[in-house]
Amino acid sequence: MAWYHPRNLGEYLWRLSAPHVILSILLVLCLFLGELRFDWAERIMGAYLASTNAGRPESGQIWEVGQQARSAYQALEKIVTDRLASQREARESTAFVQLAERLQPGQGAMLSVDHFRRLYLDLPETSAREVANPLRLLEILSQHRCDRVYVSKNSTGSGLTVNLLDTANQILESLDLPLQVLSLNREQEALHGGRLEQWPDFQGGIYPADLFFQELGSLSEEVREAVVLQPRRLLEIEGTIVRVAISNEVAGGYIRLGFEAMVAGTPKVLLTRGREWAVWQIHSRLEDRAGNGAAAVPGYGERS
Amino acid sequence: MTGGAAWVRRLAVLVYLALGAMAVAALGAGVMALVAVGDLPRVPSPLSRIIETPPTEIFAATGERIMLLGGREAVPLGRVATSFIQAVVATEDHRFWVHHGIDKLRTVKALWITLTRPGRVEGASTITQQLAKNLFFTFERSWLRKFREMLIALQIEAAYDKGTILEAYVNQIPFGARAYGIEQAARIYFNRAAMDLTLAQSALLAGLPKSPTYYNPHRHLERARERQRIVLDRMVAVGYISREQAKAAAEAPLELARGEARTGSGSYFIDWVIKDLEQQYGPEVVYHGGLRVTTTLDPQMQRLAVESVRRSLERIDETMGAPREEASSEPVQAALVAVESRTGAVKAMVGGRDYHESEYNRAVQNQRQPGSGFKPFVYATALERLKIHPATVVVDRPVRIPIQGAADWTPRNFERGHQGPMILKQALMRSVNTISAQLVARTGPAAVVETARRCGIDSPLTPVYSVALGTSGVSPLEMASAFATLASGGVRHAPFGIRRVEDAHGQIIAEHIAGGEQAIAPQVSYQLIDMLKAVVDQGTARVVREMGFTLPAAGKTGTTNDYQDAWFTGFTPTLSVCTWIGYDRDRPLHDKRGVGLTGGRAAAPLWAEFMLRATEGDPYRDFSVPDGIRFDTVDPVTGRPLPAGAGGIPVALPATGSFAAGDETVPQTPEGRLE
Repeated sequence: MAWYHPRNLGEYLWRLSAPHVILSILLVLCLFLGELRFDWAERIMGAYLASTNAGRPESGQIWEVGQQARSAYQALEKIVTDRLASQREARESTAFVQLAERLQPGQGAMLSVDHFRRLYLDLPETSAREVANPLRLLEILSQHRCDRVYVSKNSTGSGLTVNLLDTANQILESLDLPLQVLSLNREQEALHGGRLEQWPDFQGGIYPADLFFQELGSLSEEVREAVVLQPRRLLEIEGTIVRVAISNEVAGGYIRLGFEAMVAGTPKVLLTRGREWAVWQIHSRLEDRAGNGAAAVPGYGERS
Repeated sequence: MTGGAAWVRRLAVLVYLALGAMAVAALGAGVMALVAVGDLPRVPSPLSRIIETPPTEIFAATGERIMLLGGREAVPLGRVATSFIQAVVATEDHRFWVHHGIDKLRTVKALWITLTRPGRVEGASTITQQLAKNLFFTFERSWLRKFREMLIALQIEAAYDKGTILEAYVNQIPFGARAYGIEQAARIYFNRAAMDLTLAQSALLAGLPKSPTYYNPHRHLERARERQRIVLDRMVAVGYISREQAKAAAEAPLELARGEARTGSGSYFIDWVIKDLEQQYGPEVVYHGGLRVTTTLDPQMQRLAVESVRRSLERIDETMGAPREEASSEPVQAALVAVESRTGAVKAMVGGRDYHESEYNRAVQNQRQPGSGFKPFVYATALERLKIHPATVVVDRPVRIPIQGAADWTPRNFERGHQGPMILKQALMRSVNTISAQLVARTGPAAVVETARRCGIDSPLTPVYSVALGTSGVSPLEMASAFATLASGGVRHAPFGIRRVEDAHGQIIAEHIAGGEQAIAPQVSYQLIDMLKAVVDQGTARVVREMGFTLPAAGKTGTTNDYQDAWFTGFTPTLSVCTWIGYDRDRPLHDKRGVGLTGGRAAAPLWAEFMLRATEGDPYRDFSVPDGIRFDTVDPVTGRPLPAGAGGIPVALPATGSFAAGDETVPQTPEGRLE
């Protein structure tokens, strides 16, 4: 039968009381009241969201804070790792020059007093005297005023700064160790094979050894000691020193000297250094002699 | 159709429309949910993970923790006062224990009010919704954001019990004054643990999250108390407390931890330290890295500094006749910095009258003209470069210094008149402007600037003659630090506030190494100290002695034109302290009779008050005299040596060379005077 519009109230009421209408209304009412009473919609939604939580993005303020925290930890971890690495390098260093090689410019490391003492004692005596007054160090170290030692490579990388610290981290004494000085010390450790001409800074400053030592002998003892700071090293050379070179460069108040010797028929060079003011004195004397034609600068084998 | 049928028909239409509307709403909600769920953030699991970020802890030199930065100081719910939990539930969400994330009735009511009353927005967020908002969302107001917040709240409710939710909420809500979470708030505002809060305190704190700045009890106590009463009323309405309890709590004194807790007395100092940390490590590391920072702050000294500043300003308000109402509109401000001379460690710092009223740090950021307080650098330059000494005779007379391309400079003395010849020590003691002008004319202003730089003044200084009278702005911190250079025998130690920085595991990130460099010769430094001691003993700062400070001390007052700034920077062998008094804007300091307040009258008493208490019990220790210094007694006018008891004044002099008037090494006029 086709649907038709109810014609009177009785028909309306009849239709409204139809089971499916009543059921529908009851269902809606149940849903509505059930929601008010039992929050089922919230629970279902909440449970659904909780079940999909793992697949959702880590976004929002709290996660951003977490990311910032992670990145802060990484930054701090790098600082700590670098610091620990430089500490380890410092601990394992057996000489200042080694420490200088291992540290980056601007980087520093803390040493124990005993470790510093060992490194200091490892320096050649003249260098040790030069970087610190041993009596002053004795005064500080023997009175146990020094707690730790902070060694840093300066920002230009040209040397080390050593700070002796008390328990309050106050500097008791600050020492400068120019890399030039440390490098020269290392160079002195071995005889180099070859001839003086290998070092460009010696060009124009190579003299016969006998002339050099002759002029050296004519200078005062104070000047002689400042020119040849480590005579013992020269004495240790097995062979004859044939030529001496004076560098045309000054570094940290020192001038490099080269002593060329024939060791078992092979030319070898010992590098050393002298104080600038003293080396200039002997240099000017040698130049005067050269001007008078007395100081020839022959190459090896050309010597008459 | 009959009338009854028409009525039933209309009713049916209405019912169907309502059902239809509900269906549409449900459908809409479903669609919105689908849209919103798409990029809904993940909720951390467990929920306590939100408070796992360790805070950066800042410690005083004594080891006392003075500040927590970032992070959260979480406490279990069992260690939070019940009164606070009740207060917060009653105020924020009284159906918290029964709803399931959303308070539907309150939401409908709020929606109705929002839609029907233009301009009024009613909030209905439950505690869970607020937690969701604080964790994941910005404060941007949009329907979609609100809906997402609601969904997250549903998820949180589905996954966690009420206790866990409430615990997370109370441990992360902002209370203002850098306090996040109830434990921090309780410590900052009441200097006690969250579990020890009283009902009155709980009610006050529970009212703050609504608007931490507006209700900040340190700044707006009345507003905060009004809000406290509302909270108490809510607690009564919900049935947590009786009317009598509420009344008693509303009338109970609050005793805010003002000036003593973490963000109190040390705050100017802490701000300075945080800025330094941020510059070194970046804000991310500072606020999220969980650093442990040991500072140089001496809490006892800091408390004394705060107290001294407060009392001095009260005295100055009284002297100036400034009623409190006027003072509150633009009050006279003060700054005080105390620096340890032998290291540069900043022991105390006060940057203003009240940190809670103004966070502008006048001890560091204020660059004000130091006036005569700058003269020691002029004298140091003169001693170094002109080969003169404290017994050299100088003449106080009208001075005209020609300046290329500008009008001549004609400095005048503070007291207008001229006193004729006198020795240099006397000139500094009396702070004679014309003599400083003569000295800078001889040394050149660039040399004076260079000396000030060496001593520790970093602010831009203009190399003009008037620099001798302190016309370039400097900060109290710089002045304290530069005078510390004199106190330590001419050795400059840069001021610092951070002694050591460690990560959360105690690994050292950085530590301060206190190295100094000889900025000026110890002999020059000592001659200056001797002259500046006379300033304290008999000169413009003699009020220090009048107030009973008896330990050896030296210093210099400073007063700028029109009495806009009053300075005194003084030091003992161990501590250098600078005090400044003035308005933030250029306004003169006058007493009730219209007489200007000088450095000696306004700033030196503050210095003395602080030092009297800060050095209490310290042994008597004078400045150490370096080699190359000898003492003699000379005529203060002619500079000639006098036998003891003949009315001369003692002077520290270089051990070598003649010192009397007529000394050939001293550039002088034929009368034997420095011109």
